[in-house]
Amino acid sequence: MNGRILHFFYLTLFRPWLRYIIGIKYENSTITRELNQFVIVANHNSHFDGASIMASLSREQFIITHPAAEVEYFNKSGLLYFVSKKLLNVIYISRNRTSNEPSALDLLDGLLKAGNSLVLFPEGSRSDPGEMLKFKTGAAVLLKNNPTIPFIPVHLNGLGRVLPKGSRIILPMNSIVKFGEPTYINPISSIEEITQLLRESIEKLSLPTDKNYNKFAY
Amino acid sequence: MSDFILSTPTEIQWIFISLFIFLALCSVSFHLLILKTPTKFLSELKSRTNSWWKIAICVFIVATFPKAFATIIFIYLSFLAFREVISVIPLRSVDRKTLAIAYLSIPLHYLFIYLNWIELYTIFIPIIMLFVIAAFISASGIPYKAGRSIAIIYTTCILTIFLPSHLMMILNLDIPNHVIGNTGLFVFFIFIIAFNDVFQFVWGKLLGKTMVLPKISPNKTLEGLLLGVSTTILLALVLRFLTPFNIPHTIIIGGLVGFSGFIGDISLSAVKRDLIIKDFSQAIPGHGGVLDRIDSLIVGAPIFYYFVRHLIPAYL
Repeated sequence: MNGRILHFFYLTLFRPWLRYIIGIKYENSTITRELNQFVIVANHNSHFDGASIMASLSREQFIITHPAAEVEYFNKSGLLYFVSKKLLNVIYISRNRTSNEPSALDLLDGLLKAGNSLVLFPEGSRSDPGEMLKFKTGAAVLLKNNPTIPFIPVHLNGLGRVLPKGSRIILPMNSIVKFGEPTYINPISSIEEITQLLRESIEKLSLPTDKNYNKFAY
Repeated sequence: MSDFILSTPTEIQWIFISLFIFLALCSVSFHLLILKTPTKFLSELKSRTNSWWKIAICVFIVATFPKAFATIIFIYLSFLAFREVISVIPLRSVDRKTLAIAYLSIPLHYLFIYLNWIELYTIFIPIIMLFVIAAFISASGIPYKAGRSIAIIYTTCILTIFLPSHLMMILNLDIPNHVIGNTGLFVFFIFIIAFNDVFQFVWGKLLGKTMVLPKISPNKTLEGLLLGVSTTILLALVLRFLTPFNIPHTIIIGGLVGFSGFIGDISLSAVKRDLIIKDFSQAIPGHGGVLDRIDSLIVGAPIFYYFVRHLIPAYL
C-alpha cells in the first residue's frame, strides 16, 4: 500500500485508537525525529509491540522503517500475514532457509546499508508479561557491522496484558511505550558485550512501579 | 445548535459564564506569572487549571447539550476509570474474558439510563453483572483465587460504572413545579462537591493540626474536614436558587455531600496505599487519574440522587 495513505490511516485512526481506547502512553517518542537512521531494540510481549512502535514514527521514517518478523510464524494465519505485510511494513526473515536465498542477517544488513531503519525484538519470540527471554545475537551482529547507525532501546510495559501470547481478546489497559536515548556501539566490543548492553539499556528504562502494569497474578 | 444553549435557564447560563470568566482570569494570571518568574509550583497550577477547563467544558456540555452528548461523555469517563483500576491490579490471565464482558457492560448501562429504563439500570450492574461476572469466572475452570477475581472485578464495576452513573441519573429525575429542573440540581451538586474538595484542602493547609488517618491520607485533618464541610454548607445555601430545596434540606444535603466527599477520598486512598501507588494513572495532567479526581463524587452522587428522589414528593 502507498506509504503516504498508510501513514494517514495511522495518524487519523490507528494512533488515536491506541492512545485513547487501548491506553498506550508514549514517553520520549519524539527522540526518533532527530535521526535519519536507527535500529529500535525492544522487549517483546505482544503482537501490539511492533504496531505501537510504528505508530509513533513520523511519515518519512515510517516509510523506511521495517520490523523484522519470522515468516514461519506469520505465515500461519492469513489475517496476521496481511496485517503485518501491508500495514506494518514487516520484513520477513526465515530461520530454515534454502541454500540459494540470502540469510536473514544478510537481508537485514542490506536494508540497513540501503538507508532503512529496523525494529528488532532480540528475544526472538513473545515472552510472558514482565519477563524477558535470553537475547539472541542477531541484533548485536547487525549493529557491530553498522557502527554508524545508533540503536534506540524501547521498553514496552503493559502491552503483554493488552494482547498476550495465545489470546484473541484485545483488552484496553494502560500501558507505557518508553523510548531511551540513541546509543552508538563501540565496534571493538564483542557480540556478547553488545547483546548485554542492549539488554541493560532496555532494563534501565523500567521503573520498580512498572510491575503493577505488567503482570498477571498467579 | 445554539437553540438548546439558549433554552437553558438564565440562572444556569449565568453560572457558566461566571465560571468561564473565573477560569480565564486564573489562566491569564498564571500565564503572566510564569512569564515573570517560572517555578515548578506555578507550572503545576497552570496544568491543573488547564485540566479544570476540560472538566468545566464537559460539565457544560452535559448540562446544556442534548442527553446523547452526556451519555457519550459518561461512557468515556467510566471507561477510563475502569481501565485505570484494572491496569494497576494484577488479575489472572484467565480473567480476560470476564474483563471484556465488564467493558461491554459500560455502554449498555448508560444506554439504559439514556432510555430511562429505571428498573433495569438500578439492578443491571449490582445484580445482573454480579451473576454474569461470577458465571464467567467460574467458567474459566481454574478455582485458584477465583473469589478474589470475582470480588475485584465486581467492586470495580460498582466503583467506576454504577456509582458515578448516579450523576447522569440526576438528569432523569422529573421535578415538577420548578423552573430550572434537574439541570439546576446537576450543576448544584457538581459545584458543591468540587468546591468541597477545594475547601477541605485549603482549610487543612491553613489550620490543619489533628491528622485523622495518618497512615492512609496524611493530608486529611479534622480541622480541614469540619471547616470544609461548614463552608460547603454555606456554598449550598448560596446556590440554593438552583434547587427546589428549602433551607433545612439545603443544610442537610450540604453536610451529607461534604462528609461523603471525605469518605470517598479516604476509601480510595486506602486502596492506593495498599497497591503502593500514588495515583491510579496520569490521565488528567496535574490531578492524576480519572478516579483520583472523581473519588469524592463516587460516594456523593448516589447519596444526593436518593436524597433528591425521596424529597421530590415533599415539593409537589
